[in-house]
Amino acid sequence: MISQRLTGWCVAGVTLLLLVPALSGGVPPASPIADRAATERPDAPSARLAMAPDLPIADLLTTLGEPRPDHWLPRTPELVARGERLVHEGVATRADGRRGRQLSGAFRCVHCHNVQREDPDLRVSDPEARLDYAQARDLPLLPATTFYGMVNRVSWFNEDYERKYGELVQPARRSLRNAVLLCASECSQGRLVEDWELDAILAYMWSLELRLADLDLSEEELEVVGDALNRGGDGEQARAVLRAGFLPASPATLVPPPSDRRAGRPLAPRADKGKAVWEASCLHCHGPGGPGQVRFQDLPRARRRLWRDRVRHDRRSPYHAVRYGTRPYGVPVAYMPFYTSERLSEQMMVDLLAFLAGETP
Amino acid sequence: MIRRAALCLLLLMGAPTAAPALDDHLPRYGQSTRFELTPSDPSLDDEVFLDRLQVLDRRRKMLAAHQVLAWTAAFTSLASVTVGTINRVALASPEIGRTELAPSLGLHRVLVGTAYGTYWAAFSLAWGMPSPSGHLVDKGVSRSRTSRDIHIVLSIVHNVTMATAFVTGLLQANVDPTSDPLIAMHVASGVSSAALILTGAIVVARF
Repeated sequence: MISQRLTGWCVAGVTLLLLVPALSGGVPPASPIADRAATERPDAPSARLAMAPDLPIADLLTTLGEPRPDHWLPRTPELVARGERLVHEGVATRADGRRGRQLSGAFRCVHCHNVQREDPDLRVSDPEARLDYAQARDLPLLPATTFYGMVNRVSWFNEDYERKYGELVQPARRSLRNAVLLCASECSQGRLVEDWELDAILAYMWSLELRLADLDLSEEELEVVGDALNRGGDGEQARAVLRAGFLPASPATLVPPPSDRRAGRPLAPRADKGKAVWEASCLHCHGPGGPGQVRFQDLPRARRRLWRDRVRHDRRSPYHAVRYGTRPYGVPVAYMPFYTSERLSEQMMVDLLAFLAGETP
Repeated sequence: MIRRAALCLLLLMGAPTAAPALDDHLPRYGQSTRFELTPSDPSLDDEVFLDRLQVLDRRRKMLAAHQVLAWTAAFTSLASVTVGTINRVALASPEIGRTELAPSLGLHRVLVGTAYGTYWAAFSLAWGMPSPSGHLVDKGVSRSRTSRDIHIVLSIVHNVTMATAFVTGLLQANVDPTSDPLIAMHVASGVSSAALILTGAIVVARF
């Protein structure tokens, strides 16, 4: 009886000794993924997700055998904060305390890129679903892809961007570092980004990486990933499951305006959706505080003028400005970037025109 | 080059063109090809890529300086025409001679000198500026070829009128201050010079 009690106390004592440092954080785990996986019950995938919704996808892929991407870098909170300032304000303080120079006199990154998730389903690029999603969260609908999950992609400046920037997009397509350099220099009409700034921007982008909860994985898919993590299952299959959970790149298709701009496209217009595009997209740049050169001060007048100018074949036409963008009219002056069909569909363009027409008597 | 200059002159005279000039720089959507999402294509070396970006960065800085200098030249040209006109009206009065008007004539010369100096600096910068790649021009990142060519033609004509104004001004001041043909030529070339530099700026900035 006494020996049984002693044994019981000994077991309890040893358990306590093992638990206390772990609970107090005294013994850092070798890997957060391995640590979390070790605490999971093998037969409970939903419990697994509930325990680790914030697992970074890039870490998971690396644990499953994928090499780290070239743009990976060790990051500190200070570096991330500097990157955040560069992205949001266009300027940051150097590590030695000196103030850096403005990246661009015309744009800041957030004028064209969101930093939040902007798609309800990360596996498709659907601008209309994005508009609804953005509207519900008070986000703008912007011409460039969000920074959220940017580091998880494998290609940038895709497809028809080559027609805009020529061979310069080739190096940018295979390297996020080069993509940032090209975007800051050419798209933003800014200066060349210094090494410390590039590191800071990438560090900030890594703080916006995709996490397990962002991927809409089924129980079976989670099971595949869990098997590979916990029981030496098929790592390649698990990586494929994770990779299929989000787009590896943002598609970009340039679309010409309709040949008959007066008639427009033969699609049913929805003025309410057009109003949403106007508010989430047009006014982001052309409203108060936006970077656009053209300011829509008098909104009804601006709408009337845009509707009237739709038939023109120059930058005053909304068709022209949206689909082709404009050129910078000086240095450094903001210009309008174009919207690909993946960022603003033809239906949305018809909706926008219907909204503009609503102001016309 | 000659063909292009001739086209620009025709455009200046309002001759009809075969296609809308403003669409010249736009992508040719009819030839659309899709590009792979994966970065498997051969591409520029990183070093070449960075070199290109540096060249474009240098071009942007030179362009900014060119614009500042050119606008300074345009405004000082206008100012010198204004002061020159005031001087001409004053000299028409029998009570005022060149001696009495010396400060104002001096101001005219300073303005003209500034206009010439800034114009030549702007011209030199434009001459030495690296060209954007063909893609950047054709795809709308840079100016369209047409407006750039008109800008160049206007700049050359401006050079001629500026030189004429300079020579006739010198002759007027040093040889025959009362020669009506000289005065008329000086006024016409001076006004044209200022008008041309302003038109050149507007053409390249707005079209």
